[in-house]
Amino acid sequence: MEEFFWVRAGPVAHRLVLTSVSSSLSHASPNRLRRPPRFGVAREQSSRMSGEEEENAAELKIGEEFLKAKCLMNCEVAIILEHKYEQIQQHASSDSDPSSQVSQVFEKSLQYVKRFSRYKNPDAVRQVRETLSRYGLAEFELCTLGNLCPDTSGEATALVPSLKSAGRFVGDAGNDKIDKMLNDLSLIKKFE
Amino acid sequence: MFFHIVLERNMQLHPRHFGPHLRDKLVSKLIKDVEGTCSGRHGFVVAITGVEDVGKGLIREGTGFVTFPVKYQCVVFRPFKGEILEAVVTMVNKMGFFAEAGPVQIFVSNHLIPDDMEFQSGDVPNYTTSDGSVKIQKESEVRLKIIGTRVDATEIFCIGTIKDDFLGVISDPGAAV
Repeated sequence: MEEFFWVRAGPVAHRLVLTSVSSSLSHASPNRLRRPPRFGVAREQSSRMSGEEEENAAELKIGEEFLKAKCLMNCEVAIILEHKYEQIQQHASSDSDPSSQVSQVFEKSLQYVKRFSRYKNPDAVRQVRETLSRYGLAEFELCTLGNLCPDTSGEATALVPSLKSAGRFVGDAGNDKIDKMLNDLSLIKKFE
Repeated sequence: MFFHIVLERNMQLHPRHFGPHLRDKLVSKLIKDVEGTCSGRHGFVVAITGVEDVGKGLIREGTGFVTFPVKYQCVVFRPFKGEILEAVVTMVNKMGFFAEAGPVQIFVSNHLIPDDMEFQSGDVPNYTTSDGSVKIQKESEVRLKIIGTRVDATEIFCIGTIKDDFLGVISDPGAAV
């Protein structure tokens, strides 16, 4: 099983990417070729080649683009997707389309975030984000903590090692601060 | 991790759609084309939440199709190396187990399962500690760390580990009953 896994993901993947590069180039208009393609496959391949070795979420190396982007906690995604799912269903019933119109990715994501949402209530979700954002966390750290809800400062730093970087939560004072943050979170959960 | 990001795409539209509902047509085509796709750079596009801007269309020579640059906001799921997340076990065998976190498949090899957990074959194949207190089987919820990602043209595979502090089973379906 393992072998099959790697073989399939190995050379085949490489070939697929290469063919898609050449096909995207042949379709591209001359106009598009002159400037660097911003979201094109060609750029994607080269940036991955150079950037892949360095990617490490534990050190918050997730690429400029995602570092600046807004992260979403599972509970937030659940709210967004459920809202969208309702909209689609309403639409589908009037058009007499089957409600299985959504993509597999959408469906799997919805199931996943429903299963792993720590907070169900939209107000609680907002509170969690507000509380965590008072501690000077990066978006990625904030969401990891919000998703996993560790119980102790030891667990929190094991799950999010980058907390200890940049001198934010150093020594015992830092641990106390983390404990206080986690305590705030558990209170929100309790009073939800 | 899920992200909310802004992406751009050049959409080609047939001239028959030009009219009062051009924008609607463009948006529905965008959703159809983009939702559910996957790229190595941005991960899986789960849902489009809004269209920020539709740029000026450019008529393509020869065909009459018009290309519009469209900027849209979307929810994407992108796994990262070193990220810790929760996943549901989908299959267990002697090589390890597969788990799913949203759209992404994660394989945890038996080398990356703690040494005190042994594979038990049978009706419900599982990994169990010698004292039987912890069990990983289908539908178990596990917390794992991603240690490798591999990008296919249409999918992302991940390799994970549960051999680290604070990783492992969160709940197993057998114990819940």
